[in-house]
Amino acid sequence: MFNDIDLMGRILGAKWLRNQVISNNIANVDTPNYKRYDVSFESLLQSKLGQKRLELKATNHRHIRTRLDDLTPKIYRETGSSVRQDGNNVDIDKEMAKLAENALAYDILTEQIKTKFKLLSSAINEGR
Amino acid sequence: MSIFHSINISASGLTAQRLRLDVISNNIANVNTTRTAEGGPYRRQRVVFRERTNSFNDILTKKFKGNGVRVDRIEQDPAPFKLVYDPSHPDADVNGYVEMPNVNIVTEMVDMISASRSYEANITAINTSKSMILKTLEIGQV
Repeated sequence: MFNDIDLMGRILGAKWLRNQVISNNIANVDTPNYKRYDVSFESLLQSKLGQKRLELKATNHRHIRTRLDDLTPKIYRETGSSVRQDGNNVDIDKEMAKLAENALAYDILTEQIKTKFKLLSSAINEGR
Repeated sequence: MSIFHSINISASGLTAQRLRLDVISNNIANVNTTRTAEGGPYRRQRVVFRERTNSFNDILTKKFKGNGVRVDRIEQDPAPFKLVYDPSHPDADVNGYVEMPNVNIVTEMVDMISASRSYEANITAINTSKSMILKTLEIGQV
């Protein structure tokens, strides 16, 4: 019953983590030799949702795993580039755009979760 | 890593940029200062930022490595002083030249705008985090 809410909760977690990472990039916009962090999650989610069958990979014989189990966001660092002379690769315009985009996606997801709960509550109360 | 961690990160950015603004103001205020405690004219100061590293515990538990920014040091600009011809100045040498501070007012103004914009960017980040937290609280209100 709560499968999709669980999935949306995980996505919310990833978006929240990205908000922290972008805040950190913005705080370090003037730090020499700072390299930006980013979160990779959406591509992993895509590949997981594309899988038709339940995957049962387990490290312990008592574990039963669902396909969402190892769906965790990963933080990586972009070390190869720099946009300024001081070795910093934070492009402030890009970060602000990403920040706004991420916050909007977060808002949409919370609305969806709210709607889900409303539907459930309506079903429980027989539509009254 | 608490729910307010991102606000703390942005707050560290605010603190750092404010200190940078303080140093720039000091440079501008001392643009004509020829006497200092160390002797000689005022030397321009600048702030060097550094990524704030996190505690041993965070590294051990492999948590998110971002922790904001901090001021590493305030260093002096080694650029030479400006020589200005002003024989009536009390600090003029035998040829009538005065050593003036190596502060360039235009550079300071540009730095000031840059610091102020970075400050605003951090405020925007705080507001975004705030609205996201408030949005999360709305989930409970069915």
